[in-house]
Amino acid sequence: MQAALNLDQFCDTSKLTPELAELVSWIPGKSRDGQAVQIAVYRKGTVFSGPMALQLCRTGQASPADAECAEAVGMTPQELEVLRVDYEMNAKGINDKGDRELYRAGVILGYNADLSYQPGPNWDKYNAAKQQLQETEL
Amino acid sequence: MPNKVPSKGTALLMEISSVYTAFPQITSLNISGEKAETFDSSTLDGSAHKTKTHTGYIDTATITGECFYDPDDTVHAAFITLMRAPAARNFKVTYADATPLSEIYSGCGYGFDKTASPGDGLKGSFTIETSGAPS
Repeated sequence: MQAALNLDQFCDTSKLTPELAELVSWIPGKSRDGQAVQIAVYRKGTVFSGPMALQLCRTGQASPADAECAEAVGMTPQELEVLRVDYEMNAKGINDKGDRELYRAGVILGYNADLSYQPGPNWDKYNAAKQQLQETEL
Repeated sequence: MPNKVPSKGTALLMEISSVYTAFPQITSLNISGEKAETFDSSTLDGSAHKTKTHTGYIDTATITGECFYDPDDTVHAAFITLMRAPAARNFKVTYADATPLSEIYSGCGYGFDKTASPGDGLKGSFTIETSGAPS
């Protein structure tokens, strides 16, 4: 039973088994006191096996990578997709109801450090429609 | 120069099987109580101003917050299971700034209250008592 991660996920190196250690990558980050450190992550696409695969699918962090896992999860592709998008928003700290709707609609991808929106694939379409609506109201 | 990092975008991640998993639907997060302990070291023959001295210990932080509670959610269920069978578990807080920050707290005591009221969604209020130095 296997599942593949839908997005990069931080890893707790204190809980690594030898098998999991092989899956870890390192990215530049900073420590609590601002020092540059390497941070352990599991990269998007990393394949997990066994009960962990099932659990990662149920949180929306991963998608089934084989028929056995898909059957064990017991969700439709649509349900898995909803879970995946919900999890992405949770991981990005998108908790505002309006922002979650924008994220689901592909208008935004998240936040920049200055709180501005990161434009998504439908950003221009959304803004054009919004502007048109404003002009109609005037 | 310090940046004004928004609260929006802050996430709490719970370690499950070595993977830090986002705690869903959080509406507020508070990390408080981390404080260097002192004791009153004033003496009868001391100066007018009282003195305080560091005990050598630091009070650890407690993480509290609120979320919309979903009884079917895997992470909410995992947290409640952890509360009922407590064990040391790492939690990570990430902020909406560009560089990933490693701020890891070791949780040791947990609480989860649920509130249902006619004028609001089903809410959960969680507490994580931490132990030792954050890393």
